[in-house]
Amino acid sequence: MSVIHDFNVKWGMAIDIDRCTGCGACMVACQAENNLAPVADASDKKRVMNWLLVFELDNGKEGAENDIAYLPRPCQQCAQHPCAVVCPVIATERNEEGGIVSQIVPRCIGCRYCMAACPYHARYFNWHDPVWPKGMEKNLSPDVSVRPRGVVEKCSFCHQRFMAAKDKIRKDGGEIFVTGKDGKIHSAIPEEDYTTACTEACPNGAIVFGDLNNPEHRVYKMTHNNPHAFRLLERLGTDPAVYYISKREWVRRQGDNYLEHENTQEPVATLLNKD
Amino acid sequence: MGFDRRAFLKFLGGATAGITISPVPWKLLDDISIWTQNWSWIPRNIPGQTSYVQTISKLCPSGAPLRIRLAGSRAVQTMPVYDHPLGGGLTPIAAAEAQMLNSPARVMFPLMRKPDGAYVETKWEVIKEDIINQLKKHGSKTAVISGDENGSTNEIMSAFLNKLGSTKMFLMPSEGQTATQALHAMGLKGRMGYDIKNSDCIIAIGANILESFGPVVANRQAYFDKPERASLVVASPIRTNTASVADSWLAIKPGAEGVFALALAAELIRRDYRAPASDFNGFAKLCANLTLEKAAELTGVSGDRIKAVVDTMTSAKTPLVVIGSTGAGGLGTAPVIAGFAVNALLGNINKTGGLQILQEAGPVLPGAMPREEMMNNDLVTWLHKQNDTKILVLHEANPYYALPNPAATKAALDKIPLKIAFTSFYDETAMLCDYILPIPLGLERYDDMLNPYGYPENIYCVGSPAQFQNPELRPTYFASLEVAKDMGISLGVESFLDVIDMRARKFGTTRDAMYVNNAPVTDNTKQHASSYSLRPQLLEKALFVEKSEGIQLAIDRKLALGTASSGIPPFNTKLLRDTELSGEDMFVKMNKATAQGLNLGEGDRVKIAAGDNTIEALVHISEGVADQTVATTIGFGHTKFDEFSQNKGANIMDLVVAAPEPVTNVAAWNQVVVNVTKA
Repeated sequence: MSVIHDFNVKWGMAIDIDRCTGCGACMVACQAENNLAPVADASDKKRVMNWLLVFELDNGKEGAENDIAYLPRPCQQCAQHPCAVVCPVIATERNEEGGIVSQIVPRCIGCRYCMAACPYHARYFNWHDPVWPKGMEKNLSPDVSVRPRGVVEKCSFCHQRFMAAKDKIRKDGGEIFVTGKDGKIHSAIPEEDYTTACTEACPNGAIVFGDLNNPEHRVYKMTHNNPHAFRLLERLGTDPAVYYISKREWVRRQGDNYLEHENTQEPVATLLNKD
Repeated sequence: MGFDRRAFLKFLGGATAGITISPVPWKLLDDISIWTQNWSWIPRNIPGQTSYVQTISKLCPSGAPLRIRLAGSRAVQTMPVYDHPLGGGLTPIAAAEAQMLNSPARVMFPLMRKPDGAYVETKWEVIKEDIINQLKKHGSKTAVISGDENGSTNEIMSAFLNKLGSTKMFLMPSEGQTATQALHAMGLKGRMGYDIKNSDCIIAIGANILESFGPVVANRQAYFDKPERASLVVASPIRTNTASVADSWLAIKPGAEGVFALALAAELIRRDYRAPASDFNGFAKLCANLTLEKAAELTGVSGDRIKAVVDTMTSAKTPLVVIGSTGAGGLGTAPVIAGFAVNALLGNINKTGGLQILQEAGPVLPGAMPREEMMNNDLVTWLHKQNDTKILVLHEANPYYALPNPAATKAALDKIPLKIAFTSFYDETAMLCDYILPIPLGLERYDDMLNPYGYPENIYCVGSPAQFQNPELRPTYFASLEVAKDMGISLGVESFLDVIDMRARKFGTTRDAMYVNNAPVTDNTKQHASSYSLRPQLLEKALFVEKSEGIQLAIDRKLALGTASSGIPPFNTKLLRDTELSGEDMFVKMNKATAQGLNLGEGDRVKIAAGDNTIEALVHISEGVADQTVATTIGFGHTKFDEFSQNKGANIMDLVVAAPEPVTNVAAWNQVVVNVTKA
């Protein structure tokens, strides 16, 4: 069974919903980076593999008061990972410095217990063997294994890029951890050397990626003490590593199942500690 | 004591219990699950050394620069280039461009159509011989349609046409063409650009500037990548992707873009703003007749909100108005003139943060058609009027799919005896042609890009091939030069790279320097724009037409659905929401009030008719649509390409018919009245 770890480095994202125009470039870049097979009819959303999925939010009002927003949802890389806790074969685990929840494809037996446990529907099951149109297998990236049917897969924060960034440091004889100005241990990977495919693709700069524990990183600055920052279903206590930012109150309210009288600004800790 | 039945059963029971407790069955199960995952039809990863090539996107209208990652010799993905005026990210097309290299819709060998309509593989030499014979007979009756607005292939083809005695060089209709036509109608030359980066207040009328209008990657960088974003007001019949991040969205009636712009101009004039137009008095008189009440009736936006927009503009330091269609083009010159007028009244023409009128690049080859002239040539009007064209050559163009009234387009194309398609994909128009000549995609060929519409400077970029395909794929420029040479016609260059060099030298550099530096060149030469007419009579006739009562059609454009020349990229089907496509059925959007008026509910199947044509769709109720409007996205309804593009809804252009704009007679198709009934 999974053990909950605290790490020095916590890779995470800050996604500014007020910058996202819902174009979907991030979704396409993710598929290209991670060898997801294309699907001719992708309208059955219960079956389509979307490691990163852009949701369309609506404030539910009519006429001129109507407003929409777009919310990209990768795997939330929860520190209190309900998925890894239930995996019977430890095919998914959060045991590496950096805090990425792994998905070890050859180990997965396809029981889908993790999918039931994930509150964000961020995990996808290969109901069928992925079909690559003849010739398109030439576009496969060598860094990410091709998955067969019968296994679960999910966003890995482009873990292959994390490994490549660490290899780059090691090749030059450097250490992959340093002590920061704050006296704490941080990753020695420069901020621009490890970024996910979706972060890189977005022309709006809506997705920012980095170490949530490092005060020098943009994600830290964007999320700490920011009243507009929130996490999805925060009150479940999953401690996700993906923060969303919106100046629009109605968007923040859709981040959780708030009752009418509840306040999005009330500290999560207080809510969790309520009897 | 023997080994009787009871003992046997006890033995079985004990063995089962024992094996279950042991790790053997579970280990075997685990091994079976691993070994049964290694089926031969699941592709294996192919190793390869990583390297990168920088080039430009010729598939995506944004013209974004790309860094292509190669694994060995294979292009595996596209990545953005940051340090580039047109770069900073990817679009859904640019992100899929490497995969398009191996799309099932690729044409990989030359094809010839037999009399029975079937296509057979043939050799380039066979086709070339026939083309040469036909050109010798009918050279002066040859026309070219190019789907690449910004490449120097057009230079070569128009120079060739000139030598043959033809001036029939056309580009596929675009926002840029409408803007150039509008400038000409005002007595101006050049091309329009929008300085979004330095504007602190942007009014986007129709134009989907952050999704599909202009060089969108550059637009998005210009808008977002600064400490304080400009205020953004979007006025369009559909809440476009741009509107989703705007400060406000005003739902205007479809086709009312020009009237809305004129309403802003009228309010500015009421506040004593002036523009140095030669016919300003006539323009002011036209605006005086457009009271706020009348504007509200015609646009659907209240007088108070119009005044509020003008308040926003006048309190900004560098306000900018950008006008365009939401998706299907065909705006006509009048709305663009009205938008120009607002910018002129705000005093921002050729100023920082304003509308730029830039000097358009001239040709580099002797006899080539100037770009401005190509942009002014009205393809739709010519295609339906012409009856003496003998040879049509298409370069990456799909007019049968993209132009209004595809049935009429096909009938017009059928009149042309010989049609030759230079194309990368089996698109709808290619499948009407006599010869289909496969060309390498942008990532497989040298190419260039000049002055994408909307960019606020003149800019020239060059691209290199990231990988090579088989030699049967001949770029259009290569084939054209070969045919010209075999006919004994000199175009003034030996190779396309010479054309790139000539263009680079016009910008004060060389081709070699551009390739070495991997950087574009820019030029900020403005066109004089102090003397122009605002054409009040044209505006009056074109903008204030009597409209039939009924539901109006609004068409959105999202790059996720590709372009007419690319089809829907295989990866992009997943971007379609379940409120946009369900199986083979596409959705049309309307707001609750409109739906209630038509007795329609969410998910109802409807027939939408205009003229003799009808399409079917499902209803999605969305408040992001103006009243009495039904909206959908262009890009559905492909009948060719591959399974990723086919069997997805209907082509909305089936309901659109072009009509000549009053006074200019430019083909316009921005107002479509439809009949919506439950199917």
